[in-house]
Amino acid sequence: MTPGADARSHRSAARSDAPSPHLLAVGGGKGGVGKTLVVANLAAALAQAGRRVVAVDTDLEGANLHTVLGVPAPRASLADFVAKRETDLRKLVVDTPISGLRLVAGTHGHLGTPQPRSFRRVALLSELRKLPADHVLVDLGAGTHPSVMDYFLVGDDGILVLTPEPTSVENAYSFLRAAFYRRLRLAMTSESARALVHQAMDQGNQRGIRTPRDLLREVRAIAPEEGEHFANAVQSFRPRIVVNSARTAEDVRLGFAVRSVCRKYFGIDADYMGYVNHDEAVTQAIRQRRPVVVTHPNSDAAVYLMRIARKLLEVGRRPRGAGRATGVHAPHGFARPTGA
Amino acid sequence: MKGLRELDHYDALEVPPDATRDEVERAYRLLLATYAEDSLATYSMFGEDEAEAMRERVEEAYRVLSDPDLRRAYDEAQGGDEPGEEAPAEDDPVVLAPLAEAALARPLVEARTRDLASFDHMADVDEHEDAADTPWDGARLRRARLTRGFEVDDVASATKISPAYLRFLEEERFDDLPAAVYVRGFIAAYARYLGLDAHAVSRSYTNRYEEHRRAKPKSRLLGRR
Repeated sequence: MTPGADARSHRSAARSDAPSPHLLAVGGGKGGVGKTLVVANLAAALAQAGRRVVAVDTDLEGANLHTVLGVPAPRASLADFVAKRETDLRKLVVDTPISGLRLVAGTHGHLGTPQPRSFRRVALLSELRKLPADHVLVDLGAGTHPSVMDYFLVGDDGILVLTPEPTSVENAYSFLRAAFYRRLRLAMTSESARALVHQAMDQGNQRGIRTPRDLLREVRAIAPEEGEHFANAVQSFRPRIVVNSARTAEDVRLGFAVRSVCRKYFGIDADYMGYVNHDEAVTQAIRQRRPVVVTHPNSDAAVYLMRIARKLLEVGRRPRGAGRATGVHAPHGFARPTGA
Repeated sequence: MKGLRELDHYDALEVPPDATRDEVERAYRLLLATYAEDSLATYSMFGEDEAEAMRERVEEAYRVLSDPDLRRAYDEAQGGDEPGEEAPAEDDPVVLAPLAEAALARPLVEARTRDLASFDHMADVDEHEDAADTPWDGARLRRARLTRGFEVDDVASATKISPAYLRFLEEERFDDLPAAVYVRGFIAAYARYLGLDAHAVSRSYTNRYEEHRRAKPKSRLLGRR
């Protein structure tokens, strides 16, 4: 048993009997690629399928998940938790017009410190697990800030949203790279191995570590057992890909191409969950402040989003522990919040 | 972790050991496009030399796996379809395709099977939709086309229907389409190309078309919009 699995079972035992929700983080590196669209619609689709869902907007700088779900700027928000005005995340959950779907909004944050500090982050990550829901969907902000990466890595699943544009694809890879190395660093048990991973995160590093394969060689050279931690971390990291704003079959194939890069460059097994086309119905739905799966259930975009939701229902049904977030990174992440 | 040349042919093409000829073909075309010069998916991750090395490796794997005799000989030389037994060449200069060492033997096979399942999963989901009891409209045809990875031009060259008409069919620009008998033929050919039930699809679509014509009889007399 890995130290991680051990720590995890302790955490589980410490909780109440209620099973913790399936935690899904949705990121993408770049702003405007459709993270909020994906979160709002998957959350709505899961709720329509009879699941209890809480959507959480962690994008405190550009919070608008509440708007697309039809909730007028709520008075209670995640910002209250970050600012320690509230310690129980459950008290910040508000209803939405969609039955079964509730929300923790990200409104009115403190403009000076929009990202929670590391200790607050750890508290938040464990609070997310206590939400009374079958699924918790987390809308991540743009960029690769450590707090964004932590939400992504600590979830049971992480979806990476990209669009068929060079800027979006580049940022998606930056995001993957950041997540990959952060996950590796959290999996290393010795200070020296962590330092190596940290060096590798600098693309122009002096040691000539250019690829994950170079890094593994260096890590094994200083500590063979760390090589095994490395391998486990790589193997259990399984990001999911959604291509948004697809117009052509070539755009659709982008997801398969990114999956190939994940395998050939990082050695990780990514899952192409699906794509959403460019659809006027999405714009109309946003104007109506409702998810498109609710306003235009027969539109192209809604059909595509429902496909992804159906896959998520299958994923969520998997026995807990078979997913990607089973042990290697999470407990280390919790234990070393200052690692940012 | 494995370098590019340590990959076996199946890994290089990202197909399972029991991949059909058709799967090998599809994977090959997909990877050539993925690692093409200026490819959107790879230009920011691989240098031109690396992309070229990747294309060569893919070509080599395809050359063997697409030829039944070469493939059989290769499988026999590999000793069944258990990969990962060959000694890793530490000095392999091409630093691509890292694969976690613990994942070398059995888990690798698992990963592949899963992989193919997810490749085909798109089609599975579509079968769910293909079987649905909703009318076949233009949007649904387009979805079925994209799910199978075809551009309008692919359908046009296979069916000899002009790309313009195919777009009109998908966009349901009924006033721009010819008489019902042609539309029925177009849709049947299109559906057949996508592997759908040509009869059912064309009947469903032609119903929509004729309803539209009945509802707007004047549009014919007055010509196009």
